[in-house]
Amino acid sequence: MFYKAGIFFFASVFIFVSCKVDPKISEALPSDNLTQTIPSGWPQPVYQFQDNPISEDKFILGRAIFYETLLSKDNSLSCASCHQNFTAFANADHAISHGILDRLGNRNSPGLFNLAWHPYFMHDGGSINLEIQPMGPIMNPVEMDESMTNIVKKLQETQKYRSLFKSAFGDEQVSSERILKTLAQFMGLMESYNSKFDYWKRGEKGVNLTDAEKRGYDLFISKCSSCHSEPLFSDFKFRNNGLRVDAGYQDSGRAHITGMPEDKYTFKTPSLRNIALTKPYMHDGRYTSLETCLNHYTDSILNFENIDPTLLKGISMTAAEKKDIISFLYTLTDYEFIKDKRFADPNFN
Amino acid sequence: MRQVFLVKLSISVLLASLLFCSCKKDETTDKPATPAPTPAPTPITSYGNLKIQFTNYVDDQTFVLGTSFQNPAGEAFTATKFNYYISNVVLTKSDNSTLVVKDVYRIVKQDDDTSRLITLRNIPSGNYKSIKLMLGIDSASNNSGAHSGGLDFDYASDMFWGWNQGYIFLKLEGSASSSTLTNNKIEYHIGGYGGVNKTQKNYELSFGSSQAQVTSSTTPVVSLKVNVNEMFKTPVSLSFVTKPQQTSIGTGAKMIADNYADMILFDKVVN
Repeated sequence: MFYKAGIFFFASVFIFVSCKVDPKISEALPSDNLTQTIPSGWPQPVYQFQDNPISEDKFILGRAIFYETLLSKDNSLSCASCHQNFTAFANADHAISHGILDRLGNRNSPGLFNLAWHPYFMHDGGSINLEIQPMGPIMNPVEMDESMTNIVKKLQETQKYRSLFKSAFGDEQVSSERILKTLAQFMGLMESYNSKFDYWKRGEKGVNLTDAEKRGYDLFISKCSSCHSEPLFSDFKFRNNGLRVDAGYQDSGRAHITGMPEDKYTFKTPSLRNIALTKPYMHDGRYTSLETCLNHYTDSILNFENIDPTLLKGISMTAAEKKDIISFLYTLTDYEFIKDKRFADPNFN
Repeated sequence: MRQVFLVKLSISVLLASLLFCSCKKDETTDKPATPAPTPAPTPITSYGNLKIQFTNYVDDQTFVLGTSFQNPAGEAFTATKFNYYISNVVLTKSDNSTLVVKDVYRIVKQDDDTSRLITLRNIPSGNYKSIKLMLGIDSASNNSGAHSGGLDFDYASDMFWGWNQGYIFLKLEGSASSSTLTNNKIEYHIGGYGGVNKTQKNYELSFGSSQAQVTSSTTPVVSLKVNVNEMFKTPVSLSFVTKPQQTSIGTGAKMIADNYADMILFDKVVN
């Protein structure tokens, strides 16, 4: 209750403050509120909640659903099973997704943050709307393998959800629309913009980068940022980055969605924010360290169908340069985000 | 708060008096009434309902699940499921005015009699001479987030792709001895709402010399015939041997959609 009141208090203060002061200053405030924050210099988000007005009770319901195992067919998995708070909502040490009954997928579970800026979701872009995205893992036979019809029924049967829906919507009716809209509130507000790098870039709190980190940043700009572009550290385009096609998965990537030959073996550029937390790496989690990832770009790029033209000759980096780049990548970890109580499992709070 | 109320109140009073004044003025004008250049639209005096009855056929035979029929290539098949989405209904009156019937998104299912009769409510009384409808869901509704009603994922749980997100517009499942798939399966899940391979189809169906007469007390039933075999006929003739399955977006789905572009025909109106 105190926590609820706290959120409300901070939200009120934020609204009050944002009316009064230079928006640039308020944008840089830590987000102790339930409003969408657009950090200074960031583009407009794709998802802006205009058809899904945020309320505290809806956010709380969305969070309960995110951490709810009733979403899976055998009631064993929730969204948080593969999207863990402490890894910026990636899945620690799982190369590929582990669904119900230990069914294995063929893709790596990505970190979840700044989703409101993503024009599409999944490594192949098979989802283009934040509200509808959860239908992917819910329906996937090797993930949750459940139907929305059953989820609505299961939640409706519990007193917990009848009262959470009542608080959020005024009546106890559970519906797929309400489930997805509240999930979108919870996921859409997962914003990460308070890494060491962000503080340094904004010139706040006297944060400074070390010499190695600064050198790494300069190298990053010249060698990596054409795809992993700031401020989101992704251009959200689909590219073949020269990874040998796994013979077992035979994953055609974007072409799986479009059916177009020019999209074969291309995958969405991932954001590099929080990258130190989200291993293993690449769309199928084949690399377990940042060193191996950088080694791929210098040594093992395979020139085949739809290879990205900028990678044809690989990226030249010395061993020392790789070290500096990795030092820089570590500055992209946002500890405030992963410790933010708003996003923590409500069952353990 | 009180001040706001007072301001609102005075605005309302002002508006009301303005209205009152303008009414007064017209009444007291003693100029002879001049005929208006264009007649004002007929005021809607009442509303009624109109029903659309879908009946599925295989050419001239009434379609039934679990019964053997022949496709245009002469191959036998037995269906276990036949569903399609109907949306974007527009009615045209005999005076050519049109009525967009909002929020109609309905799955017509062969195994559910009630689903094959769609009731359009709150239709202005009048005589209607044709109907437009879409097989499938428009691109905007595919993209605009979570919905209730006919686009709800509870209702549409069987007609949506989670992995390549969008609604499935048509499903035909069953078996055919000529199919080389396991258990002689045939399976068509057709969807794709944008780009070159989109599969929604629009139908404009005239009621011929008949009219659907909607009044507050009579509900006309417009009967439409849907021929399953049109999926396999023109422009591209398809066989279960070469095309037993299509369950993803792409050129194959578009080919079948181009075939079903003339699948729905007007049958009759019963007033």
